[in-house]
Amino acid sequence: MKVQVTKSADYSVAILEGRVDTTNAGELERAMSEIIEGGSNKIILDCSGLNYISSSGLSVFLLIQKKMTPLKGQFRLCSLQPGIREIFDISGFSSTFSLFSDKESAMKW
Amino acid sequence: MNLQRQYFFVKYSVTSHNLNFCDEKLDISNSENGNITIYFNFLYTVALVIKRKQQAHVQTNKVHQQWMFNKLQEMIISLIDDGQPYDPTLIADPDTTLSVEERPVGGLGIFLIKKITDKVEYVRKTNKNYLMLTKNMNQ
Repeated sequence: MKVQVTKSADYSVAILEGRVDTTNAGELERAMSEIIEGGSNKIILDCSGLNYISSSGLSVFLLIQKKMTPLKGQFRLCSLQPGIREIFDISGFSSTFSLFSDKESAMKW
Repeated sequence: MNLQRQYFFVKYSVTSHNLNFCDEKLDISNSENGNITIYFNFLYTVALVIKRKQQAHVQTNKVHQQWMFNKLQEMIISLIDDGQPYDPTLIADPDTTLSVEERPVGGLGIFLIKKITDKVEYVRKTNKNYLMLTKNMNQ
């Protein structure tokens, strides 16, 4: 798994690549928490390179959303691959998160 | 990637006795059918999660996995341990309609496996727990 973060004045974009499972979910949580603690309250997570997620990974996504909500922040996910989107649909996450088909759409605040 | 090749991957993984290596071998993300890749990876990881939970519950390392395909092209993962009775199918499904604030973190593993497999069965016999996950690979 790799997380590459780009910050601008208005928002942060994190590009997530690889797979998120029980072995590295904590690493993702730390990386995302650092962005929030750094003051960003608008975060786009680009999932175009995410090719696998386990229930542990889903839990991290929910944790991040829970951290952002009281801060009145916006956490947007974009470019989910079909298999990942299916897991989101089954788990009810599709209605929990703000999902966008591509990064350009997600960047329209 | 055809079913026979996938079967090879599964069979090879089980005999390697190296879980990380198995997981890598199952990551056939460049195959023609991405959904099957997801299912394989997901089933495998959830099987590991269940296995670890069983290990924690029964305080034993004697958890065995069996992977097989039957003539109906159903993939069946069996997890067998000789610990105390433990039926993960009794775990209540999470409420997927709850808001972010209300929704508890976790509890998705067994729920997702119920959803993406065709059948999850638990039986207790001869002082052993048998958990069978069945997925029809023709779907």
